[in-house]
Order: sequence, then C-alpha cells, then structure tokens
Amino acid sequence: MAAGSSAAFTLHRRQLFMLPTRFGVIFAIVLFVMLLAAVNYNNGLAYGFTFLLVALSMVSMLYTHRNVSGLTVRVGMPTPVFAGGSMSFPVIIENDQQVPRSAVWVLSAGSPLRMDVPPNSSVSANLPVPATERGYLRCPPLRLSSAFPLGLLYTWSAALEPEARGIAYPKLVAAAPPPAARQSERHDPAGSFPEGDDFVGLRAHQPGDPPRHVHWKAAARGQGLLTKRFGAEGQGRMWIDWEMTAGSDVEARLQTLCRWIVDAEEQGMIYGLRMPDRVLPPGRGPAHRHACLSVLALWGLDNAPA
Amino acid sequence: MLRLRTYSPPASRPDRNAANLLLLSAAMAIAIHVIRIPAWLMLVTACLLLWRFCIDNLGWRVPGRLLRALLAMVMVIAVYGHYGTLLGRDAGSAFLVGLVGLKLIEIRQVRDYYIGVFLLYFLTLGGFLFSQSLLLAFYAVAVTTTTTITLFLLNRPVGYGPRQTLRLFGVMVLTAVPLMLVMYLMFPRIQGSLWGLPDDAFDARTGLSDEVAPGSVNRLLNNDRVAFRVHFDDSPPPPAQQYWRVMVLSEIDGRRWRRHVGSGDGKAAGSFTPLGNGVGYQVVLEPTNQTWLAAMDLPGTVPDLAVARPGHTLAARSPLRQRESYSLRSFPQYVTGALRVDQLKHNLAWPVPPSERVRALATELRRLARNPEEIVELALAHFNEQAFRYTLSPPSLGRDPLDEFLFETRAGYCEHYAHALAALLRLSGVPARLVVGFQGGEWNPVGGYMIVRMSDAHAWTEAWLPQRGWQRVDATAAVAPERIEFGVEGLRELYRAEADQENLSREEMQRLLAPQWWKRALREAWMRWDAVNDAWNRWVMAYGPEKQRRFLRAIGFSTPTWAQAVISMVAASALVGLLAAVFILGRHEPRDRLAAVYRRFCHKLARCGLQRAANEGPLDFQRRVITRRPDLAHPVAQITAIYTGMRYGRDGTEHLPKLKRLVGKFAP
Repeated sequence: MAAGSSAAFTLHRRQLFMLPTRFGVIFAIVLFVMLLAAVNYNNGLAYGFTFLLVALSMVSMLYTHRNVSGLTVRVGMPTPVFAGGSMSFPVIIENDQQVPRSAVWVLSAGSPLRMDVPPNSSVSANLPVPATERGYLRCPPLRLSSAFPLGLLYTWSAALEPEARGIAYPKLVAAAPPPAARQSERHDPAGSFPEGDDFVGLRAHQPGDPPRHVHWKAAARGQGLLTKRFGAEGQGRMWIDWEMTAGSDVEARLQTLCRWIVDAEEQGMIYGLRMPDRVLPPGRGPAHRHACLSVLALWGLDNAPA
Repeated sequence: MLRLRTYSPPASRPDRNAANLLLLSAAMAIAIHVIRIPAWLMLVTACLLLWRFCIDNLGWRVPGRLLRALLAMVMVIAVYGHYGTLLGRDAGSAFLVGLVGLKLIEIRQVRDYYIGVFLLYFLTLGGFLFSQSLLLAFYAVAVTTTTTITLFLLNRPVGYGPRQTLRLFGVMVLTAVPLMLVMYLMFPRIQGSLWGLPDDAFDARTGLSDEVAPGSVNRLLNNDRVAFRVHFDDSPPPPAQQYWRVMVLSEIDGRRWRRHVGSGDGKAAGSFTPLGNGVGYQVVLEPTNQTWLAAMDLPGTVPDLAVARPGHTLAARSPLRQRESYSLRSFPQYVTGALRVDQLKHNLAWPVPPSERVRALATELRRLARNPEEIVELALAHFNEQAFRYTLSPPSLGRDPLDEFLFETRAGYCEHYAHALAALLRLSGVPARLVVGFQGGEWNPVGGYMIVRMSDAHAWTEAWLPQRGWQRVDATAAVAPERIEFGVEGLRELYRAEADQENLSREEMQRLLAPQWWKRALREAWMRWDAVNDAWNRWVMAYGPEKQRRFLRAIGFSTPTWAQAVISMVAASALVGLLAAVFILGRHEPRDRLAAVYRRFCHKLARCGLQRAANEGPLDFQRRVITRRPDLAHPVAQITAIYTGMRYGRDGTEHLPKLKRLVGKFAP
C-alpha cells in the first residue's frame, strides 16, 4: 500500500510571491491622494505622515513574507472513506523559528483552511477533499498564502503538489440483498454450521425460526426478515464472492460487495473475499476489512497495485 | 484579477476587539479636530460613536439603509449650510469627521473596516493642514499606531497578546522611520502648489494691518501668539535697540495712518549709511498669510524671499503660508539720505486743521527751539513732563482725538503717543512718519533666542532731521520707559500688582516683577518646550525645496534634477529597505534551541561512530543506537522521548531545561 506520503515542502524565498490585496490597491490610491495633498499644501508633516504610511506598508511586506517563509508543509495519509464522503488530508505545518506564524491560509480547490503555528512547533489541520468516486484520491495542489499582518499585501507560494493519496472505497449503499441465500446453498468445504454461541451469519427467515434470532436491524433497513445463525468459534466463516452478485453494472456489484464486507465485519464474522482474479482468505479485523475494501476500491482501475 | 481572487486569502470576520479599537482610533483622530468643528457636528458625531459602541457591545442593531441615507443627507446639507461649501480645508475636515461617524455605524464587513481606517488616515492628515506642531506630530503617531493595529486585529492574529502586538508595532514603526526619512529628505519638493488652493487653505491670521488708527495695535496686545523668533549671531542688542520695523505709514487723513502708495519717502531698504558694526541674526517667522517681514532697525540686506520696500522695510514676495526663516544684518546706528521736495511735502502734510490748542502747542515748540532736533526734544519733554500716562485701557476719544488726547485724557498706549508725536512734529514743521512693528521680546535662555509675540506689537514715530535723516523717536519710551524695558507683559504684571507705576523706581519694579519660584519653574519648562519646538520648526518643518537642494548638494548632487532626485530616492529607499529586510528576516532564522540541543546529542553519538543519517528520523536513529549500544538504551530513549514530544507532540518549552541537562550529562 503506497497510499500517502510525507514528503515535506519547505517554503523558500523563490517559491513565494507577493501582490497587494484589493485593500492594498485602495490603500495605494489613498496614499497617492495624501501625497497630492502634501505637495499641494506644501505641508511638511503631511509629507512625513504619508511617507510613514508608505514605509509601514513596505515594512509590512517583510512581515508578510516572514510569516510564510521557512515553513515546512507535509501532507499526511488520510483515513480511507467511502466514495461520496469527504476525505480529510491532514496538513501539517512545521515552524522551526522563534516567531509565531499567524493567519496562514492553506488554499486548495475547496474552502481555504486557516492555520496558526506557534513558534518552534507544528500544527495539523484536516483539509477536506470530496471523494466523488472509488479508487485512489490524490491530494489536490496546495498553496500557502497569508496577508498577515495588515491585510494590505499577501504572499502566496508556488503550487505544492503533495504525493499524498488516500483510498476511497466504493460507495456505501444503504441496503444490499443478503449474501446468505446463495451462500447457504453453496456448501462450504468446512461443512455445515452447527448451532453454537457465536454469530456466524444470516439466512432468509423460515417459519419456525425463534423470534430472538430474527435480525430486526436488517428488517428495519428494509432488507426483509433474516435469521441470525449461530455457530461455534471458527465456524462463523463466510465467503463474499463476486459471483454472488449479479447484473452488468460493475459499480453496483462492487457496492453490494462493499456493503456485505462492512456488515460482516460489523457482525464479527470471519469472511473472505473471492474476486475473479484473486482470493483474500477469510479473516477479520480492521486490517482485513481494509484489505478487502481496498481490493474493491481499486478493482479494474489502472492504478491498482499488482 | 482572477489570480487575485484565487490566491488571496479570505479576510477573517472581524471581532469585537477590532471594532472597539477602530472606535477608539476614530475618537482619537476626531479629537485632533474637536476645537475647530462646529459644536452640533461634534455632538452628532459623539452620538454616532456611542451608537457604534452599543452596536458592538450591547447588541444594538445596525440602523437600516434608509435611516443611514437620511443621516448622510442631513449631514451633507448641514455642513454645506454651515460652511457654504464642502471643499477646502475647514469644510472638508468637518465633512470628513461627519463621514467617519456615519461610516462607523454602518460597519459590518471587513471591507467597511478598511474604509473606516483609510478615512481615519485622511482625518489625521487633515489635522496637519491646521497645525504642524511637534505635539501634534507625536499625537498623530499614536493615532496612526492604534488605527493600524485595527488593521492588524482584522487579520485575527493568534499568538499576539497586547504586549506582543505593541512590541511588533514598535519594531515595525522603528524600521519604517529610516525609510520614511529617506523619502522625506529626497522626495523632490516643489515650490508653490499643484493647483489653486481653496480660500481657506490657511488661517486668516491676525496680524499687523496696513493702516493704523488708535485701537488697531491694542487689538494685538492680548494676543500671546508668537510672531517670530530671532536667533542672533552674537549676543543680542540691548532692549533699547530691539525695534522690529514692519511697515512705515506716512499718509494721514487726520485720524488714520496709511502706507503711502507711490514713490513715497525715499529709496528702498539698504539705501542708508551704516555707522558702526551691524548685528547679524536669523528670523523664524510664523505663518501670517500676509507678506510683512520684521527687521530690526535698519536692515542692511535683503533676503532671497523678500523685496525691499520704501521706508527701509522688507516684504515677502508672496504671502507667508508656512513658517519661513531668513537671515539679515541690521545696523542700529545709521544716517539716511536727503528727502526730495515732494517727499518733504508728503511727510509734513496734515490734512485736517488742528484745534486752536494744538496749533498753539506746535507754534510754541517751534518758537522755543532753534533747530528740528530741539523741536523733537521739546516734544518728547512735553510728553514726559505733563501728566501723560501709559495705559492699556485708555478712555475712548471723541471727535477730535488729537486735541482730546493731548489736553484732556492724556492716557493711552503706543499708537496714541506715536500718532500725537508725529502730529505735533508735522505741525511744527519737522517731517515725521509712523512705524509699526514690534518692540522687545522675550529671551529664551534654553535655546538662546528671542521670542517676539503679537503682544509685543508697537508703533513709534520717526522724524527726519537734516543732518541725520530719519531717526526713531519713541514717545512711549519717554512716557513709560518700563514699557520698553519690561515689555507689555511686565506692564500687565505691574497693573495686576496694583503698583503705582508713576512713582516706582526701576529697582522696585524689577523686584515686583521677579516671579515666584513656581512661576519660574513653569516658565523654564515652557522655555524648554519652546526651544524643542523651535528646533523642530527650524530643522524639520522648514525643510523645503531650498533646503532640499542644499541637502542633495551636500550628499553629492551638484545641480540635482527632478529625475536625479527621484532615482536617488528610490535607490536610497531600496538600500534602507534591504537593511530592514536583513534586520527583520535575518533576526529570526534558526535560533531553534531545541534543534541545537538535539544536534549536540547527535554530535556526541557521532563521535563514537553513530552518525545520524540525513533521512533518519529520531525514532529510527534511537532504534539503531540501542541495537548497537544497548548500554545507552535508557538515556537515549529518555532524550528522544522528550525531543519528539516537544518537536512533534504538544509538549511545551518547559521540558527544554531537562533535555539540556540530560544531553549535558550524556556521555556515550
């Protein structure tokens, strides 16, 4: 899994640009009018005052530059999300100097992110990026920008293109037909599932099943009546198989599989994923869930790892 | 423009601190104008500021658009009604005050704050058109600082408390001052204005008027405003020589003296034969919006900014709208030349027939004297011996002022005496004229210069004597020598003490006039302040095209052109800016004490063969070290934990001393 990278960008002089903000442009006009007044009235203090303001804005340029210069930016690995959600890229800004950096804005495609970095420390904030479809999601190019301290001038950095990328799983659909119906027909090599204490899976409800075994949650989700099956430890195995889904819509099939995996994990089952070109042996736990969901996320995509 | 929108960081929503600081700045900037704007405007503006305060702090609502428009309209009409215009200095600044009030109540967004701040900058600048004093300059720096900190707060700085903010701005202003000085000194100054100035560009100053009737100088006697300051090259001349002539009036309609228009009474200033050495001095004249210049009797040179006028007086080429200084050389002893016949006639004329008593007095003077000198002496003796007295509040005079003054009231001040003496002399056949100017002044021992105030205004007589030409004859000095010695202020002091000045000896007066200790202290403090102001005016505010030429010449431009001045200004600004950049950007480069301590730790390990690779993180390095040197496991783990906690975690600087201690003890 090569998703995510922590290559750091340190902003140097050559990567920083500066222009007046629109208030700065108005301020320049104000200064010009003030200078005209000073010249016209030949007024020494008016000259002095105007030049003091000019000098202050020139000095503020240095402060604006200093506010961003030398910062180190890293983008961390985001937590995977389901497509349709918002992926949060952790942006870490490190300030190894003695001055606080205030009002540093991380500009990106979405809404800007404000960060304030105390001296000699680093600060992290999450940059939300919408994950529209499954697969890898690269962190969009970032710029750091700041108009500190007076808002008359602003500096911005060259676009930083972080390597960081996260995985967006297929969209998590609300309901999927249960895998149980077909699974019960496909007898597992491990044999039948004798009754036990461990929950091992679901099957379609049949008259005579004890009501306390009915999976009411699923019923509430509109998935029909299902009966929870219980078996002994090691017997709650289940294969989630590409073949168990039908239809020509690949995305819909992936979404169904995704739902099943999420449910199976939620129910504490031991599950394996069988795709046409690969098989993930049964397991459980977050890592296994991630491995399964990643296979689905990258299914059929060019950038899928071999 | 697209790039602007893309890259520019969004402005934060302003908070209450920014709002209140803007309000404070507005109050401070308006205070500059408070004595000049009409009372109703002050009241309205105060209400608007209060309103704003309630909006920010008590949750009042921002008034609706209709109400604001209505208020604005009323404001415009009222200011227009008051001044008859919205332009110019007075109406303009009053309008600006109202505008600031109106802008304040409608502020909502960041943009409004910026516009408010810019208006305040304008308002501060407007104050300088009224006064350029050192005090105002200091105050303006304070106003500018609070106003600019408002801009700072609009960006919602984090990590800047009040102290850090003030320190930041202190450093910013101190860094900006050299840059400002470069621009101030080198920005090409031009003579005159870019376009016509509005009529009220400068105060209509009270000053000396072109004509003198009894009462016209008296008007000035209560005016304590400084008229000019004099820096003598050597020691100052005695008070009896400190007559500052401004105007010579030789035309009389019986009551009112005027300047003679036409060829008049002799050639220009300087056309006299000086006797003895002159006195060199520099005059710093406060702006008068008039052309008169003061010169000690009699000026022997004509400065650049002046032209010589008849009667050995000087006049500026254009009205003095700002403080001007000029150097002069005067000669207290002199002989002027002969008069032409028409000049003789002009200076003997007395248009209205004098009363019987006056005619008799003049005839008597002529009968007793053998020559004009004696007529002058006798006339002075007349004022001295008869019961004339000097008073600042003389009884009013009726239809024949000359007669009534000479024989009935016998009380008056300088211009009564100057007028009466000139009249007597003319009627006795001695050419005479009136001189208006100043007499005396106050010595500032701190700065070593003389302060002449409007209240030192004086009028005296000049008589033309065949051998010596025009000579000063001051009847006031004959009647009230204390006026000449102690000045008007001293006289007033004596009145207040209800001293009988007629019978006081000079020593008694001096004793009476010796001030109490606290008055002396106050006076000395004032003198110090005045000396500082004088230096400010002479060296800072008087910087104009002439001084700039001299300055640029001094730094190596023989005949600086506009382009050269601009180029040198830009070059010098760039140089100073570079220094500022080094100062501000260089100062804060890695003084990272944490990194330094960790570097020392790595250095100690490197000496025993454990070099940390450039791409090796602290934790990786720790693992490698412990594998190779298990004996160091404890200190290395401890140091690395503190370091990573501070560097990457949330641990504060309080762990730094401990880390330092551990690294210091660490001996691999």
